[in-house]
Amino acid sequence: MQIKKEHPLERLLRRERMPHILCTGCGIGTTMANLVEALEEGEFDLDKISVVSGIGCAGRVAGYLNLDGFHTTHGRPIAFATGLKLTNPDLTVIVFSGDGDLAAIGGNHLIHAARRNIDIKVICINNFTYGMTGGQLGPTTPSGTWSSTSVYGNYEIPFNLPYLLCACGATYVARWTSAHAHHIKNSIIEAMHHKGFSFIEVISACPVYWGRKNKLRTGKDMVKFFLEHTEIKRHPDPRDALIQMGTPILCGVFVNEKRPDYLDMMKAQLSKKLGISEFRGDGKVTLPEEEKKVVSEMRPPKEIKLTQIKLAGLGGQGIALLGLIMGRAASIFEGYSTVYTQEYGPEARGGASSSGLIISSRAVNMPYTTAPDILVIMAQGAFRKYRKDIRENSIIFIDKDLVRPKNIPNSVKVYAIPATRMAEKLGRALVANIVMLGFFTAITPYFSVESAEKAVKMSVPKGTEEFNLTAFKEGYEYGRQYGRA
Amino acid sequence: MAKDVLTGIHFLSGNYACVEGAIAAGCRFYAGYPITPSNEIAERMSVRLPQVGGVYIQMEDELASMAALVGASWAGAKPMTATSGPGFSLMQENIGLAAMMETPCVVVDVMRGSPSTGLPTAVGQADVMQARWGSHGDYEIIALSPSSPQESFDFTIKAFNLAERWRVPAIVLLDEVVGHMWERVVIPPKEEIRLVFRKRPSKPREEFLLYKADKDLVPEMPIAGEGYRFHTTGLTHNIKGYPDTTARAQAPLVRRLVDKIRKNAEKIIDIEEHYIEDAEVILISYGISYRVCQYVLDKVRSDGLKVGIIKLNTIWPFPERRIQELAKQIRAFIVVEINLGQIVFEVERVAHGQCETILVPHAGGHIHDPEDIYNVIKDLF
Repeated sequence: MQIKKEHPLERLLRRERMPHILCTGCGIGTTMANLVEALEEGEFDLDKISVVSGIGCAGRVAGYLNLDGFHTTHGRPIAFATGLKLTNPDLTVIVFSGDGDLAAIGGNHLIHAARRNIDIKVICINNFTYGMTGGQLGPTTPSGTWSSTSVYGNYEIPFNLPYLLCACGATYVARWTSAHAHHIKNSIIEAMHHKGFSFIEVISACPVYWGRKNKLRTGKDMVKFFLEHTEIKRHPDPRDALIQMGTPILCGVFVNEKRPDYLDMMKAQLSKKLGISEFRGDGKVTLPEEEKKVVSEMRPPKEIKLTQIKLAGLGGQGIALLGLIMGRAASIFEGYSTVYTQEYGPEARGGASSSGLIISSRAVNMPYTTAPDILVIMAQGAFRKYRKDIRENSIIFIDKDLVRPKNIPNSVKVYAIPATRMAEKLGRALVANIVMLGFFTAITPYFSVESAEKAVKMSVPKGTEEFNLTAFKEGYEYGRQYGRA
Repeated sequence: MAKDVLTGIHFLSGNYACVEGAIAAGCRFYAGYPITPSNEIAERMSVRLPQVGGVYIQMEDELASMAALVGASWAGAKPMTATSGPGFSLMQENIGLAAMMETPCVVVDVMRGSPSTGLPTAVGQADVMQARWGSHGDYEIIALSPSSPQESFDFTIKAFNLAERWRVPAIVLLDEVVGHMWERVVIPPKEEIRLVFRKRPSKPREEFLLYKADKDLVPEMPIAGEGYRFHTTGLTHNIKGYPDTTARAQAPLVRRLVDKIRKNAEKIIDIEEHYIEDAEVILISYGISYRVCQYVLDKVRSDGLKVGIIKLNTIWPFPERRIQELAKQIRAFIVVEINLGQIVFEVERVAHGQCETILVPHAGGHIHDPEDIYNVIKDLF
């Protein structure tokens, strides 16, 4: 008989990394062995498996497995794994980490990944403590027990992880202890075949810290304790899974259900609307061939002096859109240097709304309209606010039904149009801004009718182009007649 | 059908232009968390990425966003996130991881008034040192600072190229004003946009060493799932990528992380100079403040004052050699930035007493009054 020199599981372990750092009797090593057995038995494509760990004793496991392995930051392996999986959905992504890493510092990522049903397999070693740093209290330390930061006994209630994960929407949730090698292995194989967020909690022996100080000095004591204090159920209720000293540790598969995972949900929502069947972060989606485009040469603009325009009104009057359309007309179609800014306040909507536009045939450096040459004012409140900016020879455009200009220099040129009334007559007060645009176009030299119309077409909601162009023409005609009336 | 490169003439905000730059650069993964004044980047990404088969995911916080970026990059993505000061602080943890694992990724920080929650809707430029030193330890990153929507488009592409070329996080330091102002943006034809992808393994798995660097100090980068079965870690590691937490392993690793940028700095640095030849005084600025300086410069030049200007397109690595050279030729540098002194200390350090270094500070919330800059210049003549 020939004696094989190689351990049968060696092809999955990095031999050069041995001996590992794990203590005698620690449950992480045995659970890692269960994982390796599961990967062997399940005949998975090992090149397509990534293992992600956080920080702590369990975090070192990614470094011992002969797979693509990522030893990341404390608490973040699930977020890191999310990036891997969504970039290349062909990968099978396993997160192997500890209770402190996953449920304390990484707790937010744990619950959200479960909620999203991201297809990753999480193996959570729960040894009731922070082993790497010397046995401190964790979110899973059972009440009343010792840790190096709860030397009088823990007075917190620990997380019931299966219950938490079930509540968050994880689609596979199981718990075993590190004494249940076969169950762990089988659960890992199940999780590997399960599509969706899978969570396997392994209650694990830490004889060196938690065990030693809680009268379970050796690995053997702990395994014995686990075997004697475990209750395995076929359909355990996660509400009963809180770990308390003196009551059995409830084990089993709490949830195993089919639900579309994150990428399925994404596809269901987007594919039809966009005509794209796959979404992934690595750019390997074939897009329909595009026609070649060239940038048309921009003709140099006519010489004009730098002009500052202030647009002001109430939220809902379309002041921002008016400025944007004017900006597009002057910039894209006339070739002027044009800067458009909106005034931002803390409120999301409502109240006064204003925007600024600077148009010049030369480069514009300063972005803000600090001394407007022209003001377009659509509401009395806005007039009050910006009256201070109206100087000798200013030009103002107003909605004449809504704005009564008072106390302004005689030299100010006022152009008045009943824009809102005209818009209402057309059927929708909403287009008062476009009526004003037509009026402005007729009177000022900054963009032609064609440029303004093109800018309107590209800026208004699809299907409303004709209506908006009608409003534009109304305002424009009013402007053309204006001087003659 | 939606396009990946929107060739043509557009009128865009700096934030929107940044998104188009990213998509043109091949970004197909975005993970982020909403924060003013960067929201328009997330919003447009959530529209544009699905159109090109990419993934937009809104994470639970900025810690997760940044961690997801590092994971995505190792799976072959050119990933991006965008944030502002408070979120940028949270991202520092995994920016450090990206630096340590040598992971290409792009982080956009639309700077607002600070510290803490500060001025959510108003401008600041006080994150430039955080961009450089924000995560703990010795490492180097690259940071760029656009001063217009056009540059926001151009520099975002550049940031991706630099991140891929040097395998570092590249930070686009937009500011609230540039992010929110709209200007013409010319997007060239797709075939005219030069794109860089990380160096790929030239050796089979058996001979491949994850962190064995070439002459340029940058190692080749495999991608998860290709069969390289590599291991990488945020711990100090050897050239195999295995943890080696000794002083002996620390020195060559950290030195290389730093040197790959420092020794290649001249290939990375991008500055613009105007009116330098006869200048007695030189303005140094970046982002929106550069435009205010340019406005002032036009005035003082027409007054006949010999003033020049330097625009920092890349802020990090800092253009030490050039500043040092100029310090010997001029009377003073005037640094204009919306903070109470950050880049000015770099200038001062490099000028090393060869000429005066003057700061025109601004606490944030608004751009400088040109008058304040003008007066400082006038005092020197």
